[in-house]
Amino acid sequence: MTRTETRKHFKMPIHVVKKLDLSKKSYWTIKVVGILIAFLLSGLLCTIFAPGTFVTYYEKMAYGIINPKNYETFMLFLETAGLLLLIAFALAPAFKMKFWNIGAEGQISIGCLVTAGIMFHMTKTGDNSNQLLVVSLCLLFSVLAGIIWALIPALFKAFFNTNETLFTLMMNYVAITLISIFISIWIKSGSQAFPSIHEGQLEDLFGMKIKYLWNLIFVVVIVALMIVYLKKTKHGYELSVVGASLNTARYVGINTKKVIIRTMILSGAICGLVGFLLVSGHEHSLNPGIANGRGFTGVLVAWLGQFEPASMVLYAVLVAMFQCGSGKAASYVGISRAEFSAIVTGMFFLIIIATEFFINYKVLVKEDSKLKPVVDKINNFFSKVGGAISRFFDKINFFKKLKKKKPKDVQQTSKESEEDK
Amino acid sequence: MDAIRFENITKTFGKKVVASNNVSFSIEKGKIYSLLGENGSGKTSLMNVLVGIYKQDSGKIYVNGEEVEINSPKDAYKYRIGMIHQHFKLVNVFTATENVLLGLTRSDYKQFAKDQEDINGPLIQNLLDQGASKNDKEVKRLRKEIKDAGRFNIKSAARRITAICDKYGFQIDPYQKVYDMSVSQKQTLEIVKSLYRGTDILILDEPTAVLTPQETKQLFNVLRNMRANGKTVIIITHKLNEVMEISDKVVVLRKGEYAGEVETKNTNEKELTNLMVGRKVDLQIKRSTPKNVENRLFINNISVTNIDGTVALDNASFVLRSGEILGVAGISGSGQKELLEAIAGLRRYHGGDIIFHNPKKEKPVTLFHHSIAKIKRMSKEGFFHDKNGNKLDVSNTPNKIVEEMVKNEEIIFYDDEIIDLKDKKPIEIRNLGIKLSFVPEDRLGMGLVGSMDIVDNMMLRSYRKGKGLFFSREKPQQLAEEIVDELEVVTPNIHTKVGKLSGGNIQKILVGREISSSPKVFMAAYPVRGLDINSSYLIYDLLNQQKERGTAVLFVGEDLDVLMALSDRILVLSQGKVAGIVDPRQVSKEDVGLLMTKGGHNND
Repeated sequence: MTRTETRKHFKMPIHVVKKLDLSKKSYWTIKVVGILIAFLLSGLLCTIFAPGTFVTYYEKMAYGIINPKNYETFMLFLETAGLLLLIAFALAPAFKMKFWNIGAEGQISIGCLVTAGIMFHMTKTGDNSNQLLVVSLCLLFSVLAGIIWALIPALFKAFFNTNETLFTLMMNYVAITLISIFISIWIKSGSQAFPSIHEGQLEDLFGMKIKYLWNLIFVVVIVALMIVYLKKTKHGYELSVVGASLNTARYVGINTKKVIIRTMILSGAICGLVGFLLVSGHEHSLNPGIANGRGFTGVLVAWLGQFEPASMVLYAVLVAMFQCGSGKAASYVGISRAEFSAIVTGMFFLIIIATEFFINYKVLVKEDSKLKPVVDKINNFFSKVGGAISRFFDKINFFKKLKKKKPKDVQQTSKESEEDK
Repeated sequence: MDAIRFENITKTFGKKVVASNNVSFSIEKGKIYSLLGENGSGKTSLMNVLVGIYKQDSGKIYVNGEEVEINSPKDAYKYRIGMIHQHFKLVNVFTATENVLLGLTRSDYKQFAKDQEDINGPLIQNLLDQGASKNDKEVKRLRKEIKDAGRFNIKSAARRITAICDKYGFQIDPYQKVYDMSVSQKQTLEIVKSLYRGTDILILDEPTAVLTPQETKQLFNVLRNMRANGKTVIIITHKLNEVMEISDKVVVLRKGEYAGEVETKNTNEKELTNLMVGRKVDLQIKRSTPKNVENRLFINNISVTNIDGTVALDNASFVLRSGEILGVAGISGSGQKELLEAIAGLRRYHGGDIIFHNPKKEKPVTLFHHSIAKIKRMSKEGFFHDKNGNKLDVSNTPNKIVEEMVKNEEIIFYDDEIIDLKDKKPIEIRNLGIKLSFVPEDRLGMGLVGSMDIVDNMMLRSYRKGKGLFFSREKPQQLAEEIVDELEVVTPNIHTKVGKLSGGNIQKILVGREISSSPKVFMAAYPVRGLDINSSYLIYDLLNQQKERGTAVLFVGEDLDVLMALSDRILVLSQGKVAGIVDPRQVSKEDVGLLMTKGGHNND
């Protein structure tokens, strides 16, 4: 009576099942395995281009991050990580609110443009005025510019419900084109090269001559403030409610329009600040590609870190390691520098995102399938690697420490709020 | 022979959630089965395994004695198994016939032709044997039927659908668009769709949840017709009276495990409940006589229009009284959601207004309204009270002290408060000091945030309290602990994400939070949907408690039996209109059912 006689039946050898309740330990174990694979593959990639350089690659990579002879290498690495982290923290509140702001690139660029403009004109007039005044002006106006760039799509989203992803993306190209236009206005000679500007350099401030130090100070202060903002304030709470469910937000009487606009102002302000840091504290010059994809990399850092401060720090550092380290290593073995580091960074992202599959799903093989022994072997290998890593976690008591912290945090907040009253 | 046999079926989600644990039983052919169990007992999961939506972790399924592997609902049709889900899978802009034909492939049509030949072939042979010529009209017609069955043709498909309807007693217009259909018609269409594909075993997931008592009777008649035609029917349900009415046999599941199987005629509701819950349960819902009934909320002629222009609520008027439970009955989607959201200030309405009436609200006296001399004079006449509610006479107190007392809000006077809530947003209603609590239908989508822990969810209502930029987790934490304690919420700790808890525990947290503000008006939409018997009765108790402390309770329910037993008055909604307000002590369930379907026609 059944229809089996009339049809052939294809048997699937595997099926994919959703995982629920994955523990923090196994989550990080999978992630660490992914990171290790990314490291391994980047070395292999290097040997493909320049045979026999597998070990040298890692050696030079380390030199690209920490060079005992030159402290600036390490400062540059820290600064790369820091700026990425700052962008990620600028985006995190917007993303938490489910406002898909991918306009960081443009908000940074416009901050760069404003800063460079002020510095350029101060240099041109030759007015050897107060450095502090110039820097403060740059800071103020770059933040304002970033706010405006973020506010336009936010207003449209709040009042006309436009698609913020497309809108913020398009704003990027407007900002980058504006830089080109202004360079051709300011540099009359026709060449697009922007001269190095002396006035308003951040490291000259208060006579501190250490490169990137000021940038790092800004990063640490703003990141600390943002962590407090996201975790402890009413604003931070409101925006996570808005992100979790618009209906719930309406139900408890949160003004969602206000929250969207307020959060985007904050997001834009920090991105504008990054623009200021890039020009005043790093490049001292201007070109249309000055943001160099940082705005987009920041999106990835924020996403991979799931908007959790500690994870975002981890990913920012890892990305900076690949960007600085592999670039240096590649140039040493004779591969064009920028492209190789871009490939390696891309590969890193790809693998980390691919681990999400193993975090969310598990693959089951049927008992009678021929694939079974093969998959079992792969499983065994990775469970050994995973076991070693999770033993390591146990050894350093990583998660126990995390757990113990929690109740303390709560007490501290309550004490703080009592003081507030 | 057994139509279906389950052998040691186990299905888990993740490591902790066991939907089915080693379940084995058989379904006999040609009978109506009830699959009974509380919510979360794994009824639907088991059936989803059968039709290939889920894949069992271990265990075997036999159909007609043959071991089978079903990987998708399409596979299930191969074995002539069809399932009607709670949420219909129909395309609104298509006609009934188009919906039936949707998704059929060439091999399906081949099968249809073969099936039709199995039926018509002997008939033709019979006619030929009786000496009919090959060109006989009847022979031609039967031949054409076989040919039509194997072809994509709307007209012949519509004919086949009509034939199926006639056979089982359905009423469906094959050319009617789905958006014109009532819920019960849509369900019928789903059944027809399944039968069209040659289903012998039909599974219905909670089919009566969306139906009125009359429609339920109709459905049951159809199911009996199907049984008479040799089909096997499995009904997933948790309603005992329906089990008793329709089924031949009952299979009971408890917490994912097989709890037993009984012949319906040899059992009763009490025994089934005990089997279902695993111990004895008192099924009585208590209803106390309302005390101190006062008019609290006047809803006057309000109408709500949806974005697409359809009228969701049409000129509704009624009074909500304190110390009383007003039940709201109606087929789902009759405007219940819109009504509650309008009252809560979440939805704009037009036409009339909503007036909140709070007798004797305490108000501190202000110098803005009264001069010191007037305050002194009025206090002599006994208008004022102190903070403890005792009479206060300040006529002989020096002016300075009186002024000080006014400043400290120590002179209180009681006043009837009448507030127009029209066009007030939720936050404005709150700021007016009206304690209005609302347990929405969509718990995790509206009332709570699933990705936050219990403490943070408690904070939703109270985080604004206190000045400054920072919030305090101290009081929400206390409240969370109290609620977990008092309502016996099963949770690892108060820092567990609410989304990870079971439906009953989620609802306890939501109701607990809403009650904690000691509301004047308490509204609950389907508060026991998806809850097990114990949690349901706890919620009924909480509603009764609220009523007894003088809250005006508005309770939207779907189970008429519960509404009849719990409410003091029942408001019946039908197509967005108030079809009537009845006393459940005096009318029957059928009367309420009739009002539910009456619709707007009664106003003509």
